[in-house]
Amino acid sequence: MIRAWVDLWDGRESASSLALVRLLLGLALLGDYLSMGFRGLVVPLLTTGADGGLAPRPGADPSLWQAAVGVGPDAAWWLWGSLVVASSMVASGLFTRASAGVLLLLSAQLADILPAGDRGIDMLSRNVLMILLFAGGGQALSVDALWRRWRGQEPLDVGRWARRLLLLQLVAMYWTAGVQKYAQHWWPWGRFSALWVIWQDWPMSSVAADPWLHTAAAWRFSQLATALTIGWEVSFPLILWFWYLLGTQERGGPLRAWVARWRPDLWYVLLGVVFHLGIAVWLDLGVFPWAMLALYPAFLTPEVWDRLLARGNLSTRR
Amino acid sequence: MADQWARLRAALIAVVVGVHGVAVLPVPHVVRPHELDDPVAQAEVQRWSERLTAVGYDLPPDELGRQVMAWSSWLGRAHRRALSPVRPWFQLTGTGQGWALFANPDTHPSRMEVSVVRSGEQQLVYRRLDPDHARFADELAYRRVRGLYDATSARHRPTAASRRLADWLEQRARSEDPSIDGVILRFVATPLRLPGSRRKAGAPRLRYEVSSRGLR
Repeated sequence: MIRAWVDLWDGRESASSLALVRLLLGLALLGDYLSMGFRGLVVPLLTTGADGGLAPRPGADPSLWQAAVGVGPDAAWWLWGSLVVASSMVASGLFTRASAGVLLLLSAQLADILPAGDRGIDMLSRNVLMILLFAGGGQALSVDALWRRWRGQEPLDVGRWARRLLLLQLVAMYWTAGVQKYAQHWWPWGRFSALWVIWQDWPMSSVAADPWLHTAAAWRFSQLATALTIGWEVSFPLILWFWYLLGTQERGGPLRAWVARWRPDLWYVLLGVVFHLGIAVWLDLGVFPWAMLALYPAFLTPEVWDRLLARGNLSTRR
Repeated sequence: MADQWARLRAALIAVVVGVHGVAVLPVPHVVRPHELDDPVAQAEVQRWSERLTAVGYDLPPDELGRQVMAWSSWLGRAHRRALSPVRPWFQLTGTGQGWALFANPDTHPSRMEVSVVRSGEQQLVYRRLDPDHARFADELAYRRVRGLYDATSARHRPTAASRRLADWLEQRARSEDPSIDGVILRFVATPLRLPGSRRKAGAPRLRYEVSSRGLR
């Protein structure tokens, strides 16, 4: 048992999957911070009422940033500027570990200053940045990798544990999101009405005012989408079993043959992509669907990414 | 040496998985009495009570509500206590778990409206997803700003966050038109009626309004 646990996290693999996650997540976060700046929301979101901002007064327990740099507009611009620089560095893979660590801590300060503005996707991003801090992720598709190559050094692989831990995080997230949907609207006895209701939730919907939501087709479609969503989330841990069966093909048997032929794990991933694209279209949740999709390269092995990228003349060693 | 390193890494990952495994447990949030006053929660409790009664557990809605508060409070306390040693780490790094995403869809969603007040006259300038009243739409749609009002939009009285939002909108409006007195923020509940349901939807009604500093 202990040997199996040690083996599960041991070994190295090409860095392409993790590098793609790093690149896409960095870009998603950079886009989110830039969007904050372009809307003129840096000072409003990062200062308190005394400076005309929206953040609560720090009181007796200010965030580290507020204690060290201050609470006024200058401190707000410095924090935002640092977030933009750090997320650019993560995306480009420049001093990857250090920049992932800095971005993680700065993002935590942003959460501390404005807790109401910090959403689940921010916490998930920080969990992933923590993995990048320890594993790197700059071994491919990065400035760090280019630098190594320029100096004539061999490209580096990455610990296999990093991608596996990230996948475990995603499985835990989807499964617990599913089993915590205790409202009856998610279930058959609530007529699978949850998404129809959510699409009309004014603060987060982008289609609540559209009259076609009240057509029979929209209602039926929402019921199907609700059933698929809850079924997909609650059964998501099955993907772990599929991976186990795929990883032990040498033991044979009809179930393993079926999984190898039909790849149900990839169907789960595909449904996830559709799910997040649906959120991007129907709901107005900002970076959420894009940051989630940024983590999806982890679902494919580095060998698959290496083949795909080689076809496009893109070496992952750059 | 390589084997020792592999064992050490596996041990560290076991600790991480253990801590985050406790954090991710699907523990319901602690239900407070005022939350059970909400019509969405009341309908939910009513339906669960009917369902439990149908399968032989006779729990009237009031009793079920009390049980939910007691159990969620106990579970929440136990969960908090279990995680207390790592809370400073979670606080510093902003990491953790908690994925109750869209757990309880709101059947009485609030539509936010903003009116500016000039010489006592109100003028509607913003209503969520209304292209004819779209002043502030870009700023209010940003997810971190939305975080300030989407949770409070289900309440029945102003919160500190909604007051700050009103004050900021006043300042924003005044920068363009110094003659305004202030702004009024309104949250209008729009009850939904599921297709085929016999229940009436009910008319939109004001949940609460909050005036900005210039009007207080």
